[in-house]
Formats: sequence, structure tokens, C-alpha cells
Amino acid sequence: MRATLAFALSSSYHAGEEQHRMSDQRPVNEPPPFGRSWTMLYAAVLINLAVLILLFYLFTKVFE
Amino acid sequence: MKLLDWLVLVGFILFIVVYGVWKGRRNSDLDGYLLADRRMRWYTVALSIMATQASAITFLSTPGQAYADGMRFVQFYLGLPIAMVILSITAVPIYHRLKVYTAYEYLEGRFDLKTRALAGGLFLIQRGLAAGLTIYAPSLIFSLILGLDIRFVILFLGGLVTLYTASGGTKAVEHTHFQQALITTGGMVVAFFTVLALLPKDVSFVEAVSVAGKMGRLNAIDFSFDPQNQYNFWSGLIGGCFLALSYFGTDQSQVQRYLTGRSVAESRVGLLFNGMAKVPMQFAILFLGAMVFVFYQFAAPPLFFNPGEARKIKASASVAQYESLEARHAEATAAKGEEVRNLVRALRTGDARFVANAENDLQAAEGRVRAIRAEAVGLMKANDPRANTNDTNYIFLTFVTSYMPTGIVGLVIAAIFLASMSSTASELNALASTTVVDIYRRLIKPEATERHYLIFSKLATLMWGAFAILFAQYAGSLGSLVEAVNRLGSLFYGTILGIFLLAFYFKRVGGTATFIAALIGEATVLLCARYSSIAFLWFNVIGCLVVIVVALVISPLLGNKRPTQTHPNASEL
Repeated sequence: MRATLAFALSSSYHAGEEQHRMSDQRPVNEPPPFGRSWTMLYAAVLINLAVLILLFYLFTKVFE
Repeated sequence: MKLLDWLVLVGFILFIVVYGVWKGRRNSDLDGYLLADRRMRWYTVALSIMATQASAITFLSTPGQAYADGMRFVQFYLGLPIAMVILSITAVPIYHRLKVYTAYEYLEGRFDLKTRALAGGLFLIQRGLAAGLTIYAPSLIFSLILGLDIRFVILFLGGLVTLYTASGGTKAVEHTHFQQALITTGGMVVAFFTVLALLPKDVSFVEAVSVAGKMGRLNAIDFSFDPQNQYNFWSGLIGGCFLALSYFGTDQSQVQRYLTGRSVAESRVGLLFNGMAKVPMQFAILFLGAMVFVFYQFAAPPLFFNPGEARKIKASASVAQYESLEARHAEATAAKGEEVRNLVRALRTGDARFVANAENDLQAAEGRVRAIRAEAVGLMKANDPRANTNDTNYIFLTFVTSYMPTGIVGLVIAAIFLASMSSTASELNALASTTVVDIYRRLIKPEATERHYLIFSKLATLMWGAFAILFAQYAGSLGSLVEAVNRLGSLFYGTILGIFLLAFYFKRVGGTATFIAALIGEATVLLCARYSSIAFLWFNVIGCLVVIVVALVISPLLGNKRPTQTHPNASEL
């Protein structure tokens, strides 16, 4: 129990494995599979939300 | 249900189980079993995320919610797309860069072991209980509507999910999610067009929508600000954003879905697709419910949709009173049907005065129907104070089994059944991952072989499956605890999100300050839940803000005792 706790609190657990995992990095800023840039893709999601809110508002007003 | 319906239902379920076992048959290490070798494309990630979030209750309860309360529930999801963008920018690259198995693994590198253990422990408690309810809730409804023994339904549903999840791990879960999402979407589309086909021939689609609108069922947006109102624009946008940030950013059942992406880009697009599709999807399900509501304006609905409670009152000494209410209800709904037809005729004239008069008459008729229903509910409560008088979850399935054609009934029920299986599979998969990675490998047996961890992961999945089935078997007798567990998500998500936001954005805050702040934040949320009437979505905001503010205040007092890094690049985060 004591040994387990001591191990748990040690800071070097699996350091070698972590190092190995870190060595296989892919580029974080790779381009999106479609669209020109990530900024455009994010903007598309937010514009889509704004359009949906507007449509829902009109939908509510037209049929109320 | 006819034989054809049973064949369709059993056929789809067996297909998913066999497909899951087959797809997950080759797992040689933990990476394969827990993260599907990180090889998934964005569309699989996207559908897996959506299938995890959409449980059976989504498809059973949401149409009923539109029937009873209108479409305002759609506002609950308005903050989700914003959360998807924030997580794509922040959490996804961090998790990918560190190649973590669980979200909580990252917290040790950033803070310390106790913070990791606290977040992981909160997740195991909350999600472990929730997994039982994910099985119990639809099983109860299926058993009542289909006349099956609930113990058998729980065992059947839970057993099959546990079988393919334990056997194939994440590969099985994600590949079956893809199929389940397609079948579920197909089932709902067929259900929608069937409802439209069942509407009276002399009422057009636009007229049906107008009737729903005039009767207050198309209230999709409400800009009024009221912190006690569960669903309005502001609580949905702000509270919903915090809830989605926490659920998708820190709940292992979702994090594990996008950790399987083959790159940051694939994971990001999976999340962003969810951000684009989730709101319209919920709108469509609610609109289906609104059309079921219109259908029942022309066809007599039962006085009470929950057949279990109706049977109970009919077996009691109050049976005569209840049957009298049923007869009055049938007359009142027939009279209301006439008023609905008058409204349709008034709408055709285009005369605003006629329409206003018809609306007034209809509201009066609706009031009479509501009064009779309120009497019935009162009678049930008097007969049994513990009676469940909320029958929203039973409306859609009652409609499906009563009016839909043979074959379609089986398809729609299969769609709902598969939705339940998909959510449960993700939960079991995530519970097993956290148990193995954050507890077993970290605290109990740190230096075993990959094969050992793989076998233990399968055992952990089986153990959580058995726990969920067992909890589901007893959930019915837990009474108010079930309601408490239902609210559990919002009670803990704010605190967990606060911990992760501190980790991501406040580099000067250390582990001890975060740990103390998390305890204070959690206590604040629990006090709010106990002593205030604040709508539960706001608990996510409150918990998160208290954790961040308290940590920032006490951090300088404690000194910035950063732990020794377990991740080589943790300090860059």
C-alpha cells in the first residue's frame, strides 16, 4: 500500500513512455480537409448558428 | 407490434451487435482498444460524437416535449456550436499533442495527481450512475408500451451493448455508432413523413404548421431574460455553451470520441460538424413532436399517455372516477377538434378578425381539456402520492405503436433502441478507459505488459456493464434518487470545466489552489441546487466561475507550487 502510494506520488511515472508518445507528433496547424483556412471554417459554424437563430425567430413570429 | 415489426427490430439489433464484434476483432494493444489506433476519419468521429450525445431519451422525450411544451427546448443547444469552435481551437490540439488516453491524464501533467484523481473520480461517479439510467429509462418505457418484463429489457439491452463494447473496444463503438446514426436518422425521417401522411387529407402542411403555431407549439425562440426560466435564448446560449464546453471538453465519453481522430484536423472537423448539425437536428425532432401534436388535434389522444400509471389507477378504487374523466376528456377533445377545424377555415379566409375569434374559442376548448387532465393527475396523486404524473416520455412511442404502419413501427423502435445502445457503449468505453488509465495503470499496477492492460480493459468494460445493468434493475425503486442522478451532470460539469479552463488558460495557478477552488466551487453549486430556484443550466456557469475566481484569489497566497512535469511539454500548455 505504502509502495503504491509512493509510486503514485512520484513524478516520473511513465516518463519514458510519455517521451515516446510525444516524439510522434503530427503538425497541429495542418490545413482543414476542406475550406481555405480554419478561421473560415470556424466563421462558417458561427454564421450558421446566427442564421439558424434568425430563422427560428422568424419561424416563431410568422406562425405564432 | 406485429411479427414484421419484431423481425425488423431484432434484425437491426443483431446486425449492430455482430457488426460491432466483427469490426473490433483485432486489438493487440491499449491504443487499439481504447483509441481505435487513432485512425478514424472526421465523418466517423462526427457521427460517433452525435450518437454518443443522442440517447434513447433524446428520441423518446424530445418529441413529447414539443407536444407538451412547444419547441423552446431547441434553445438549450444554441451554445453548443460556440463550444465546438472553442474546443477545436484549444482542447483538441492539446490532447492530440500529449497523446493522452483520457482528459484527466492531462491534469496531472498540468497540476498534480490529486487534481487528476478528483476530476477522474467525479467522472466515474457521475457517469457510472448515468450509465445505469441510460439503460433504465428507455427500458421502462419500452417495457410499458410493448408489454415486456422490464428486467428482461434491461438485461437484453445492457447485455448486448456490454458484449460488443467489451469485445471490440473503441473500434466496435465508433464503427457501430456510424451505422446506428444512419439507422436512427433514417428512422426519424420515415417517422416524420409518416406523421404528415397521417394528418387529415383536407388539412395542408402549411395549415398544420399554422395550427401548431397558433396553439403555442412553435415557440422556438424567446429573447426574454429570466434566470428561473429553463429554456430561453440567454440560458441556452450562455448556460448551454458552458455545459457543452464541459461535456465535450472534459467528459471522457465525448473526449474519447475525438481522440480517435487520425489527426488534429480530423478531430476538429468532427467537432465542427457536430456544431453545424446538432441544432438543426434537435429542431427537426422537436418539429416532429409538434406535428404529432397537430395529429392528435384531429384524433382523440388518451387521457394519460403513461400506460403503467393508467393501468394502476384503473385497478384502484378510483376506477369509476377515472373512467368518468376519460369519457369527459373524449367529449372535450372532440369539441376541441371542431374548434381546430374552425381555426383552419378562418386561416383560409385570411381575415384577422375571424382568426382571432377562432383562436379565442380554441383556447377556451383547450382550457377545458387541460382542466380535465389536471383532475385526472390530481386523482392519480391522491391514489398514489408517488405516481409519475409526467407522461411526456410516452407520447411519441404511444403514437408510433398506435398509428404507424406495420414495419415502420419496428424501424422507429429499432432506431430508438440503437440510440440507447450507442450512448451506453460510449459510457462503458469511457468508464473502462478512466478505470484502467487513471486508476489501475497509474495507481495499482504501473508496469505491466500491454496485453495485461488490454485484458484488464475488457474486464473493466464487463464490470461497468454489469454495474450499469444492476443499477438499472434497482433504479425504479430508488424514487427521488433517480431525479437527483438526472441532475448530476449539471451539478458537477461547472466545477470540472473550471478545473480544465484553469489548466488551459491560467498558467500561474497551481494544483493545490485549483484543488481547493474546485471543492469550494462544488460546495457552492450544491448549495445553489439545494436552496435556490435558479435554472439548472446556470449551475454550469456558477460552478465554473467560482472555481476560476477562487483559484485566482488564493493562488498568490499559496505560492505557485507547480508540480514536477510528467509530460515533457506540459509547461508549454
